[in-house]
Amino acid sequence: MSRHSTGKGAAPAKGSTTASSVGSRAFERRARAGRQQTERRQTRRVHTPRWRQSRLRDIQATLRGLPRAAWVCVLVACLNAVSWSIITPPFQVPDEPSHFAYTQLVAENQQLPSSSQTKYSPEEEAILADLKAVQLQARPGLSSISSSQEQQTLEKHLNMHLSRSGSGRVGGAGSGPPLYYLLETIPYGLASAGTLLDQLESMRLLSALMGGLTALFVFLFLRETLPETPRAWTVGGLCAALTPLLGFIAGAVNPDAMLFAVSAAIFYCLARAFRRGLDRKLAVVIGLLTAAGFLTKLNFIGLSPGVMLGLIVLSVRAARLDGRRAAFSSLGIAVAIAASPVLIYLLANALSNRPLLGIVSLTLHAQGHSILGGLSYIWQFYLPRLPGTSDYFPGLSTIRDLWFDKSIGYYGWLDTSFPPWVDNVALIPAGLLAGLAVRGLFKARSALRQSLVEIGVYSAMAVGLLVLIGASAYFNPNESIGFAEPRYLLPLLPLGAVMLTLAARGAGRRWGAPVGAVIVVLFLAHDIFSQLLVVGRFYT
Amino acid sequence: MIGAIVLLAVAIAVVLSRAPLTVASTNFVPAEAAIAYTRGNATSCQTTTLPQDTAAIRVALSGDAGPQLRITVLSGSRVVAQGERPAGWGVLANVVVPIRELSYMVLVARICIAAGPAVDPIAVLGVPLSEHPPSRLALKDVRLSLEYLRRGPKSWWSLAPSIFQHMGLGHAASGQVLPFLVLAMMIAIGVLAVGMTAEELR
Repeated sequence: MSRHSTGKGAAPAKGSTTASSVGSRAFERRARAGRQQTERRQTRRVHTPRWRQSRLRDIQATLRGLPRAAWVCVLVACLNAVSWSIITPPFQVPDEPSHFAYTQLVAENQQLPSSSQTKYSPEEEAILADLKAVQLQARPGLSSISSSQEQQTLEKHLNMHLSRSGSGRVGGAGSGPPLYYLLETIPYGLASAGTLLDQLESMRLLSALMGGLTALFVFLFLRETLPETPRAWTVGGLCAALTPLLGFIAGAVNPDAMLFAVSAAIFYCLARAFRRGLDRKLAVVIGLLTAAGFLTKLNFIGLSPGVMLGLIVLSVRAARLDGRRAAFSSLGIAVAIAASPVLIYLLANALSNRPLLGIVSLTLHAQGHSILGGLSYIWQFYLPRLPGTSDYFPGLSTIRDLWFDKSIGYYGWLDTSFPPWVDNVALIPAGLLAGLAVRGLFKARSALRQSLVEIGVYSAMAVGLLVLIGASAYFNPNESIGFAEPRYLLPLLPLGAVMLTLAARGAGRRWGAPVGAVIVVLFLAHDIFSQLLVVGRFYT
Repeated sequence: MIGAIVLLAVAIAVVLSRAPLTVASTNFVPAEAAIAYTRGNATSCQTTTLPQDTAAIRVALSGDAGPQLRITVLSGSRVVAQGERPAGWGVLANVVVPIRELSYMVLVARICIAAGPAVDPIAVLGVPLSEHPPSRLALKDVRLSLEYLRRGPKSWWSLAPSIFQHMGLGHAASGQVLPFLVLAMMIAIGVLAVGMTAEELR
C-alpha cells in the first residue's frame, strides 16, 4: 500500500491547489466526475441484492484507502488519551463526577436528569469520599490517596455493592443533551460486573476512541484543504493527536470529547463538499453530524450557524450544476435531519410547560444587559479593549492571562498549572509559529482569495463558537471568567492544525520540512511535560 | 529533528534531576472555608516566621481567574524578598507565588499581599484578625492561611519509586503495573510520532 494511496475516498489529485479547486471550472469538472462516479456506484448497488454487504465493503475499502500516517495519528491520539486516563485520578477532571452520575442514571434508572442540583448515587458518593475527590479539587498541596489503609477502605466500599440508583440530581451536567451519555452506557454496562472504578475507566476509554477520531478527521480535513502537501497532513494530524488538552479531556468522561470528534468530522465533510460538490449522501452525513452535535453539547449551537451557511453556499453551487430541484432537496434533507433534535426539544418543552428554549430562555430573559454592552464584553473576552468602551476586565489581559496561559496547561480541576515562567517562555515558540503562519498565509494569498467563500464558512463557525462562549460569560456575571476555558475552543482544532501547517509552509521550501518536524517535537514535549506536571501534582 | 529530540531528552533529564517544591512550614492558620470575598484592589499584611530557603508562598485565595498578586516580605523596614503572580491563575486554586529564594531564616517577617484588581469575587480562606470582626470581612480583616515552600531534599528521580507506588493506588487496576504501562505508552507515542514525521518529511 502506498503511503498516500489515491482511489475511493482519497484526496483530490496531487498538484491541484486550493485555489483551483473552489469556485472555478476545475471545481465543476471534478464535481461532475464525482457525481457520475457516485451514480455508477448507485446503479451497481441497484443490481446487487446484497447491497448492505456492498456498502460495508465500500466502507472497508475507504478505510483501507487511508494512508498509514492517518492510522498513526489515530493510534497516537488514542494512546495519549489512555495515558492521560491513567495518570489523572478518578473524578479529577472538571465535572467528571457529574458526567458519570448522568450516565449512571441513564443506565440504572433509564431516565434523564431531573435537576442540576447534586445528589449522586450512594455508591458514587461513597467512592468520591474515599478518594478525597472534593478536598483534592481545592487544594493543590494535597495528593491523591497514598496509604494502604485508604486503599483498603476504598476497596471495601467498591466491593460492598452499594446502590447505583441515582436521584435524578446529577449536578452541572444535568442540563446537557443526552447522546454522549447514552453512548457511555455501553462501556458502563460492559464493565458492570466490575467496580465503579472499572466502569469509569471503561467510559474513559470510549472517550479516548473519540480522541482518536478527532485526530483522524483533522488529518482528513487537512488532506482536503491542502491536497498538494501530504507532509502537512501528517504534521497537522500528529500535532492534533499530541495536543495535551485533547488528551486530558479525551482521557476523561466528558461530552467535550465527543463534541471535538463531531466538529472535526463536520469540518472534514464541508471541506470535502467544497472540493467535490454536495451530493445527497454527503448532505445526509452533514445533517446527521449536525444533529449529533446538537445532541452532544449545547456549545455546538455556536458552530451551527456556520454549518448552515456552508450547506446553503454548497447547495447554491450544486444548483448551478444539477439544477435547483436536486440541490435544494439535498439541502432540505440535511436541514431537516440537523434540526430534528432541536424541534423535538422545543416540542417536549412546550408539552411539559417548561420554558421553550430550556436554560437558554433564562439567559435571553436576563435583566440589565444591552446588546452593545454584550458585544463590547465579548470583544474584550478575547481581545484588547477598544477605545471608548468600558473596561470589563481591569488588570487582566484576557488574550494573554486567560486564553494563552491557560492553553499552556490547566489540568485537574483547573488547579494544576505550570509555574508562571513557563507561560513566559512559551510565548517565544508561540510567537515564532504565529509569525511563520502569517508568512504562510501571505505566501498563499492568491489561493486564499479564491477560497474566500470556504474560509468565510469556517470563520462563521469559529466566530459563532467564540460569541456563544463570550455571551455565556456575559450573562453569568458571578462566574464570568470561569467560561474562559481553552477546551471550549477545541472544536476548532482542525483550523488550528491548518495554521500550524501554514507555519511550516511559511518557513519556506528549504526550512519547511525541518520546521514541521520541530513543531511535532514541540507538541510532544508539551504533552510529556504536561503529564509530568499532573503526576507531580497528584502523586508526590 | 535529531537536535530537537536531543534537546527534549536533555530538558526532561534536567527537570527530573531537580527537587520538587515541598511545604517547609505554615503559619498554622486553617484553610477550611472561605470567610470573606474580595473584588477590586485589596491588601493584607501579617507577621510570621519564614524558614530558610523559602522559594514560594502558597496563599489561600481562590477564584475563577485570580487577579495579579504581589508579595513583599519585610524584616523590619527592609525588603528581603518579593514575588509576583500574574493575573489569570486557575479555578479553585490555592495560589503559589514564587519569591526570591531566602538564604536565611527570617524570624519576624512581615508578609504583605497586594491583590487586584479582581474582576470576579476572590474567596479568602483563613481566620478573622480581631476577636470582634465586622459582619462583612475584607481581605485586610483576615489572617490568611499561608504555606511556605522550598525545594525538597530529593530529586524527582529519587522520588520515582514512591511516585510509582502512589500511582498504583486509587485506580481501577491497582498495582505497580500502571506507571510502567504509562511509561510504555509514552515511549510508543514518541517513537510513532517521531518515526512518522521523519518518514514523511524525508
